[in-house]
Amino acid sequence: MQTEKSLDSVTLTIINNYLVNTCREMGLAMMKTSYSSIFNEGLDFSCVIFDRDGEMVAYAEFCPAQIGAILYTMQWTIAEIGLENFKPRDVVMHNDPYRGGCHMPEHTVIQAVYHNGELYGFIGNIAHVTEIGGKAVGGFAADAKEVYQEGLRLPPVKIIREGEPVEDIWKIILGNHRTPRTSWGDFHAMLGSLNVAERRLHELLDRYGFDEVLSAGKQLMDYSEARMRAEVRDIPNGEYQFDDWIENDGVVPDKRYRINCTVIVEDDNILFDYTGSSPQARGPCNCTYGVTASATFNAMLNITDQTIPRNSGCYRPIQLIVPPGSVVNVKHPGPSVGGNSEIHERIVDVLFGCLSGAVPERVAAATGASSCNFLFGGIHPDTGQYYANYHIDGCGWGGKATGDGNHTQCPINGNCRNTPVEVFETRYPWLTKTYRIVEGSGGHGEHRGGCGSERIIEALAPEITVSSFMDRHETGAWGLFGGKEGASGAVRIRKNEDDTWRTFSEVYGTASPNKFADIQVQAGDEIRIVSPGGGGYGPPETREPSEVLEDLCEGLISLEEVRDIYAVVLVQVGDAWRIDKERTADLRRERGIS
Amino acid sequence: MAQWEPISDALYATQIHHCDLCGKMLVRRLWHVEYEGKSLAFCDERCERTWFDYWLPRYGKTHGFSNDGN
Repeated sequence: MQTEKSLDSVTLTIINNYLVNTCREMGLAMMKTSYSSIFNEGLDFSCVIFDRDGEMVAYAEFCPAQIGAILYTMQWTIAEIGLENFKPRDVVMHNDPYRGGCHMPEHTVIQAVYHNGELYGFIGNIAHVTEIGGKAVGGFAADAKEVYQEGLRLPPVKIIREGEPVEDIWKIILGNHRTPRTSWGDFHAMLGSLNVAERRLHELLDRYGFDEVLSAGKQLMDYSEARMRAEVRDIPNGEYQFDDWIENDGVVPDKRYRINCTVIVEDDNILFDYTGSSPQARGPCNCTYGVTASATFNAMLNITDQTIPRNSGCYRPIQLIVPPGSVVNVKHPGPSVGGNSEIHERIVDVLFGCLSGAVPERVAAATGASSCNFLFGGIHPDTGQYYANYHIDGCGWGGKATGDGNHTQCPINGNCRNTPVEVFETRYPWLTKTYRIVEGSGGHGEHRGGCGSERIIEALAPEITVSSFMDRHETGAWGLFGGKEGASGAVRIRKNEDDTWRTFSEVYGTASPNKFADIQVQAGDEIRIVSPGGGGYGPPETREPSEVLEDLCEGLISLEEVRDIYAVVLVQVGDAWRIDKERTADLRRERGIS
Repeated sequence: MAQWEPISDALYATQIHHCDLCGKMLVRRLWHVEYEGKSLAFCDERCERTWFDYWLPRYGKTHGFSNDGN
């Protein structure tokens, strides 16, 4: 029986920090014990604690894309299985996009925590499992037309029953994955993190008391709600609209898909209406409801006070309208693997675009918004075993009121990292020939967009099967308030016998040049991945001249751009450049910049 | 007339029930509302309220509702 004990703010803070640190420790356990590089290098997972009502009490700052979605997978799981059917030490696994999930690779494990026989709540984590079967190695069938092609779909099922593995379920799962040993290792890393959380929760409950900890969770959520409502109240009431376009879906050539949102702010409530978005695509650029909700929460958490405790209370002022059958809320049996990894970040951009009309000082120009999802696998020539990998790259982030966008940072849907070249080359049969920042790819602006990257890898195995799901290859990231567009990205192949970089459509006839699956490349073939730059913020002619000079010295802009775009006049003194302040002021005055 | 109704699909069922306002997938139960002879399913009363206050005046006519809710 829950009591309504009111706890003082010091105790609340201690309990909140304890819960958040428990989630962080869960993540460390996963990082240190997992097998795949997307776990132990990419950190593509999130760890959470829920109360017995299915409300999220705490989480650590891992992947925003997963943190919103796990709310729905958890609530669905509790409803479908029934609270009364969770026994101590039961663990449920779930990856079904049509049961609250975000896309097939994201697997959630959930365990109920009983303390002295009474249910406190649930601990869980959600993680991107590299290989889940289906038509494309790496679990990313970029040309899938339905969910059944995307891998093994698991409704909430118990994989551990009262502490004992349910071997029949394990056999089904591992029998459908191409790299079962890696899946086994990653799943056990996930289970290990649950052990950490269970132990820590018992320590907390022993120390502070069951009712007190339960009550603290409720109070923390109420507190976060109040803080978030105050933040929303600071946004001017009104209606704000924006849209952006997905270039193609991987199946239908040259057809674009609109992401549209109308944001309505009314006092301390905020409504996000996605009604103007395109009907769902045939290919997998669709999002589930969980993805769109996550992206919305992500945008809101990015523009509000970072000290608000992160829990379900933050989401209470937010209401969504996400029409089923649209590109932002896929209906069964539509495919959705690209939504979580590539479209989430585009939705956040759209929301920043909307809110730029309300709180311009809090948002950023568009990001490169591409995870540059590149998947590959095959039989490793050194081991004779099947291997698979999910590779991501960073992109340029948008400039913002307070500064330039970051270079080559993994997109806003995840706080992920890419795999270091040394690890990449040790584990997989590729040679990295180039990995660099692409100078000049950030959009010009008072606050410049971050630059994208270029990576060239050469296949070393006789055959490697590759897939790709990327976007922003035709149109760059938009700027804000006079800031310029960032450079677009690309994925190309240079066959062993060829001397020209070509698109995959040119070489293999794929429907899309940047979304394709199951392509066999051979030893000596080279792949070139260029990630998009971020958009600029504010007119470039207002950029601080010393920063323009620094950009020139860093090789980020050319001498012509210094004068033509930034309206800065330099004079050469020996080997160095100096700013001619008077002539710069004159030039800027001529162009109408005060 | 509005009331909670259980969702009890067969194990082999593939249909998904979505909230008629927010689009969220519904599990186990839905908030059922009749309006102009049409059957509506919502997550809860909050979604029902927003449907009448916001959605119906804005989109109702294009979806075959004669009344704009006012």
